[in-house]
Amino acid sequence: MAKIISVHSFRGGTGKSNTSANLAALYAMDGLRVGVVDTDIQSPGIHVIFGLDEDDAVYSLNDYLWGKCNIEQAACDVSEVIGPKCSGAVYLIPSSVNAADIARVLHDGYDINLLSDGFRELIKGLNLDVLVIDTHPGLNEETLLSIAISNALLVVMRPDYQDYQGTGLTVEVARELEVPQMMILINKAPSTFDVEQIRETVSNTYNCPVAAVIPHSDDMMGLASHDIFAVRYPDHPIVADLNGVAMALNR
Amino acid sequence: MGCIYGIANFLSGKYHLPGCNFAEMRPQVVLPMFMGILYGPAAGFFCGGLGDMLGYTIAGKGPFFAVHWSFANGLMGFIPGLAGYFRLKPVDAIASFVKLLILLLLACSLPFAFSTGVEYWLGRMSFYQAMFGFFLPIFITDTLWAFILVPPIMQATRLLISRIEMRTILAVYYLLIMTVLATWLSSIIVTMQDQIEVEELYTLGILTLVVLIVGLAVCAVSSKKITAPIMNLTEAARRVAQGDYSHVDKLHAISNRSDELGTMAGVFSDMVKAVEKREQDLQQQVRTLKVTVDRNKQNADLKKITGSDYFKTLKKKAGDLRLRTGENHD
Repeated sequence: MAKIISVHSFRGGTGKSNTSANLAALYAMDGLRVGVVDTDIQSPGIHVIFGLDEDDAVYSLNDYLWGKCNIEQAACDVSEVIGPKCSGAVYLIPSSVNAADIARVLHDGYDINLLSDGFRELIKGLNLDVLVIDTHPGLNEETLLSIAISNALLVVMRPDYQDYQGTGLTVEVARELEVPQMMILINKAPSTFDVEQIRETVSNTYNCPVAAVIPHSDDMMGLASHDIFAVRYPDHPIVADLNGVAMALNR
Repeated sequence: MGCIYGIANFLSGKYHLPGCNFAEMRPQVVLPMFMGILYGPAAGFFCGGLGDMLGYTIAGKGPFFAVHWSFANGLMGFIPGLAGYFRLKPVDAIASFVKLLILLLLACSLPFAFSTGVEYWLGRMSFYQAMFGFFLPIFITDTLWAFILVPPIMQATRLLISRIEMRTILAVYYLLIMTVLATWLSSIIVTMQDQIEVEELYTLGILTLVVLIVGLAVCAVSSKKITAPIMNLTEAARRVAQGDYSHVDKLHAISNRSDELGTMAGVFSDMVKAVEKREQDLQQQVRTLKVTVDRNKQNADLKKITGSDYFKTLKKKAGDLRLRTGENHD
């Protein structure tokens, strides 16, 4: 059985896409075949981290949802980005960055059931071990679907007042949907924080295990989302933390 | 510069100081001194020595008319040239300004003590004549010219850094110099009118120099008293910028003063203490994270989502969906 992992955050700017990309890279380095789906149709971004140009992708998730192609045709093999350490494979299904495409999705919508069918076809067709779903912030219908079909949910939050309420709501919704495994990742924690104190406070507040507390990193900011941190700095302590998260989610 | 010095020497040769027919009013002595300060001892030496020889040549006496005097003139440029070795380029503090004045004083005394000594040793003049006819007139007038002219020239060429400490001492310095100059010139005029003896004039000159030097010493000490607290405050501020708040305790001596600087130091100390406390409070706040969740709002939001038909269907299907979607083999 393939493992479906949704990476979600209630608000934007938490580093959700970066986390998804790094998890995918770490799995691929571990020899797994990984699919990454950008379901953030309204504000796509993860393709940038994988160095994918608009022109590189012939088809996008949008095309699949509009019946222009099947889902496998929208999958780009981005294993090259991981470099020689990649012993598995990474396939990215990007969302269209074309403004008209985005507007059309917002205006016309699409058949949400296609999304779960697509995930299924993708896992089967590409014989995936792990499917990472980079979700849209908030709790709209496609996000709820992504969470519902996931074996594991990683909720990314910053230690920021604006993130507390939404994170709590996400956790409760996932609980209603009986997601088998759920973890919180605290991202961009200022160095003045006491890591253990944050971990304890957050896990007690949401009654949910904390996968890791990732400190704010100038090294990571320096990449400006143009590269995968785990590939560029394989020996960085943050990568060790992320690897721990990856292992915990795919137990 | 050597040429100018030589020509100036020739020209000024016509105006002799009272009581001696050899020594003259020579503001140009600052030329070799300044050459020395600018380009080092060798440059100062050649400017002074060769300039002096040129002066004799122009006057028709030949370059080697008085070799020991030319050598003395060279030394007069050589000694200020040592300024670079004492790190007096640029002059940026009272201590280095005082050192510079000492160099100038030496430049105006040692070389001419040597040359008049040679004259006396050669038996060309009596001790009295060497002392009152040559050494003292040259020493006193040259020192005054050097003291009057070298600092402004250095200021113009930016070799004097205008820090507060320097500004304070320079203000008093110029005032002092002007007073001394006025005294000295009036004494010369009085002497020329034969109202006092030449010996008395030079005793007066020495006294004037002593007054000048003592005045400068007092001025240096009092300037230091004004600027030292400012330096201390600056250092304390720099430490605070680096996160070290402890240095402020050392400002007690200043804040106990009853003047404006004391007030400033007191206010500064209070400010630093307040900043330190605020920073500590802030750090304390940040370190212990408080997560607050409005449970009522959360429950209301949750009901909105879970109450929809879409959610109810999704919830029913979820388990099945997970099973079916995860199949990666037929």
